[in-house]
Amino acid sequence: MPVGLHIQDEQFERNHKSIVLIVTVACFFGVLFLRLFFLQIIQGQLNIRLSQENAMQLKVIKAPRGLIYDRNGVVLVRNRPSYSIAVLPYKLKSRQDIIRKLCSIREENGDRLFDSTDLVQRMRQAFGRRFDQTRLKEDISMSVVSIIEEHAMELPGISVENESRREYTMGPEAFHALGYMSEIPEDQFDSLKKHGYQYGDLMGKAGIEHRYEDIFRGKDGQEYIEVNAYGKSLGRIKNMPRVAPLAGDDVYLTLDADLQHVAYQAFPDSLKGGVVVMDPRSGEVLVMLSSPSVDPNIFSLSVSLRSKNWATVALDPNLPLNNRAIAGTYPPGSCFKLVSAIAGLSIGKLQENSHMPSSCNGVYHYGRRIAHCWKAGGHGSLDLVSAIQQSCNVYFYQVGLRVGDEPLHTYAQRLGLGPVTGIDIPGEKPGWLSGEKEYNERFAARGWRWTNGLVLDMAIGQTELVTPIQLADMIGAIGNTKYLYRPFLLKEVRNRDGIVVTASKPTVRTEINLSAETIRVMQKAMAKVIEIGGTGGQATVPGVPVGGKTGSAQNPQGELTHALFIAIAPIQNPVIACGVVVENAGHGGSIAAPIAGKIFRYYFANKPEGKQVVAMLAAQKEAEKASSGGKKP
Amino acid sequence: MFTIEKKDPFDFPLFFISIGLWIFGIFLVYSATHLHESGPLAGLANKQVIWVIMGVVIILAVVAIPPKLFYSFSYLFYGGSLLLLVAALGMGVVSKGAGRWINLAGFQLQPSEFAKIGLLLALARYFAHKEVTFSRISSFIVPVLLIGVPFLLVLKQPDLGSALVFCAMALPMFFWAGLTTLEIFFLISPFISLALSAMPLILSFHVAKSLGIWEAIPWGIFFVVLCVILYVSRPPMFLMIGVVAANIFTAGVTTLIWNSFLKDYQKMRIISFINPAQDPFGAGYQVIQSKVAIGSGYLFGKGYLQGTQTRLSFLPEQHTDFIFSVLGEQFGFFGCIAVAALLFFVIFRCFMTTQSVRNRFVNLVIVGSTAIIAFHVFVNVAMTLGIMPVVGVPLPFLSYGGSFTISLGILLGFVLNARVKGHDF
Repeated sequence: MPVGLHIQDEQFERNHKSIVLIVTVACFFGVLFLRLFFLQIIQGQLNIRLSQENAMQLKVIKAPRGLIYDRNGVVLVRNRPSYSIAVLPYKLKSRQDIIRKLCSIREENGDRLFDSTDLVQRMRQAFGRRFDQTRLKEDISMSVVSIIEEHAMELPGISVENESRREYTMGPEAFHALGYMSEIPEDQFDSLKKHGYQYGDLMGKAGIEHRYEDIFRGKDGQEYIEVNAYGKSLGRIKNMPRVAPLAGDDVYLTLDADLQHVAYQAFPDSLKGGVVVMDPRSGEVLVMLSSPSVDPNIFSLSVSLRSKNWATVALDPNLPLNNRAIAGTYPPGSCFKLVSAIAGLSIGKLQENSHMPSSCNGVYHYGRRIAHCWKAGGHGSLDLVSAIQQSCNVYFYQVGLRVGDEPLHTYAQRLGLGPVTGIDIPGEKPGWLSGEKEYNERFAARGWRWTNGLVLDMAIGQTELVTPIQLADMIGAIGNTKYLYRPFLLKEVRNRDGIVVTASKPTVRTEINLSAETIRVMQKAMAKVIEIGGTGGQATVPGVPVGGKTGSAQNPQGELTHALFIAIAPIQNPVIACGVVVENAGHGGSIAAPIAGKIFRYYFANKPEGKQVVAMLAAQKEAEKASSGGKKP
Repeated sequence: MFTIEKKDPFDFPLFFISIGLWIFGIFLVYSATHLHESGPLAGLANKQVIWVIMGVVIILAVVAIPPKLFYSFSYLFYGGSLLLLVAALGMGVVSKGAGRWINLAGFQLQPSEFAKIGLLLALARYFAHKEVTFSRISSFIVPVLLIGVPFLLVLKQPDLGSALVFCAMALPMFFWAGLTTLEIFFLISPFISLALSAMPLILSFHVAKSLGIWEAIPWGIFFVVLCVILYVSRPPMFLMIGVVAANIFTAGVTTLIWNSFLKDYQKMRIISFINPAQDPFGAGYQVIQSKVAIGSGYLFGKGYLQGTQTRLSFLPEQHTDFIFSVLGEQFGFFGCIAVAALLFFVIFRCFMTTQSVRNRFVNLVIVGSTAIIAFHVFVNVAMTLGIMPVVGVPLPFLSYGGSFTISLGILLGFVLNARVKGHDF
């Protein structure tokens, strides 16, 4: 009996426990039942609507791209609305039928909107991504928009998309600094996808647009929209999650739109070259010009137009996409004589009144070599200041021999020549500075060796390679006398409410700290260059003393020399520095100096900052006159 | 009432309903994949036919084996399955992929499936002779170790779904092995504390403002209830202290970790895991599409092969983890209820088998097997309905998959075997 009782107890326990387990599971099933009831019965009608022909679509809400302003708040780049025709391939009933219908659409002037072979090609591409929208035609006119909208019923799967495009207000005038936008290339798409880019998105391709892509871009939003059977949007679905887009931040550049315009006008159309204007007190770039230029608006045009333009741009032998201001490397020519003079003065091998052993009679004999001065008749015996003013080669050949290659190299580098300046746009190229070590390294493969005669060419700037921005940075530093600043274009980043998010601070590349004597001599010499009788007389500004140096660099590319000019104004405590290079155009004094002159004259006559300086200088002069006049009687 | 059923030892209803569900599953897999003419999804329904046939054969094979054999080899099987797990992890390291699969003679095996069965047998064997009770804490040491080792190994893979299956299977086995309902409640109370203390933190994350002391309200209510239950039920002193301490500890640590250690992106990841709707375009996309698909089935569904969501392949994984959405869309509310009823019948029938079998080991195996099946059903369906985080757990009978179909066959084999041979030892 006890055994039986035990069995009964055990049986009871098993029954009890299995019931508990079953009831527990039943409770869980009850939860599922309620949820099913909610989704399928209570929300059933809504879900049926959403699922019909998959009326629910995930739509990307493009974040508005940040705008670009100049230093005074003038809009350089803005967004304009634009319409394009897109296809959602899986909604198409008959591809042939749609192609036929689209081909029959005509624009207002009677032209056909689509080219049939092009359209067939695009359709084939589109069908590679059946569930993604693909653009068939971009930037269509309002009349075409209304035609498509009217015939929406006959064109299932075809829709008009509202987009925004970049508009560059200055056209080609500021192309190289600003850059342009273009569609993500197919081969880069996979790696960019994880950063949230969509197929067909545009992204900054060069210049500021590329460098600060992350700032401009903002963050795209997403929402679920309801689409009718013809692919037309019926608006956002309530109750479905939505992520609002985050607008990109605006960028304020250091560029000055007026000055950029003046520089563009001043630069001869048919010539190539680069101009950089900077504020030597901070490194802010006021003008960045490269010629020839391109109108970046063509890249925002519809694909067919774009590719036509693109072909002309890409095949142009003048390489208009190349930003010569930061990537064009040229021999500095006589501009380098300033460096030679500073090197000599700084290491004590040159004084203001130094005369060289051989006076200039047009040629200089070094060993078996005969080196020429640009003035066939010669300059006679000159001191340092006159030698700079008249840019005498014979004088500087001897400076080179006296100073030696190493100090020349060191001072050139200290003054900002050679390595990249670090400006905040992509594509900058370094120059090259010669010297015994560097020369032997560079030409080791060709078996060339440094000879001492090369220091002659080095001292007059024929062996080095520099960029316009390096030149502008250098002359700015000489004027500044203390610091060599890193040039930069981004002044501020502001969010959509106009609140400054980040502001750039000047960064010092090197402390040059010229001695007082060097400064005095150099200022005197640079001022002489611009005076009547100097080589840079065309860069004078009324009421403002300008200092600078011309250069005419021989080069293997053409018969004419590169015309170079570097200048600062006013010569003491300069507020503006300029570097101009014009390729194969002739003499620096006659070709490059007038460009700088126009920029400077405009700056001091029209810009508030310039006018202030002019007024101050005038007041100073007045005060000096008064004090000297007061002493006389 | 307490007589042991002698006649009709083989549970034909359970067997045939299982086969019926399996066949229905093949049709659903076909519906989910028939639009793929090429690629990895093409022809999966045909493959599933073979898997199902193998499943049925395995049921019959397992039924033929004397349970004594399972008993004798249970620890060996457990050890073997652990070795497979380690091997898979090793291979995963070598191939720099997730260590979930191992290749065996051209077949891809999921060792975590074997580990489920290994753990089931090992726990059953251990509990067969030991009562688990809170009055002897030492009785927990071995089972916790048995669960812990494979749990950590699959978590390392990482396969959260399987890790949870281990816990879900162990709980009813603990219950069967001697813990009372109340004690089971005490056992899971720290996890409830964790959930309740984390909930307000997660909710307040988007408000971007701390709710201060109010965050402790849900947990506080639970804690008071727990204390009342403890007071009324008067368990031994050390248990009382232990439970209270464990609950305060988990709640405190959760709050501390959330507020002081986790970075925002880590919090976001946890939040979008728990509530995919927070990330509607990433993790939540599938769930939203699945909900619409099921909901659009309405009363009777759109008809077989007539699903629109599924037809447009908006639902990835719809032949495996999201197969229930195919069912919901094409067969509607009544279809879902019918299938759910059949699944419940299978679970019910399995649990009821314990009433007619006296052997404790066999009963524990049945309870564990059934718990595995029930857990898969609930978590999978809840996930497709958007009320549970998305953990990769297939739906028994309906989802496509070789490894799981085979292990489901083994589990059903255990249950059916019990009625036939359960009295043999």
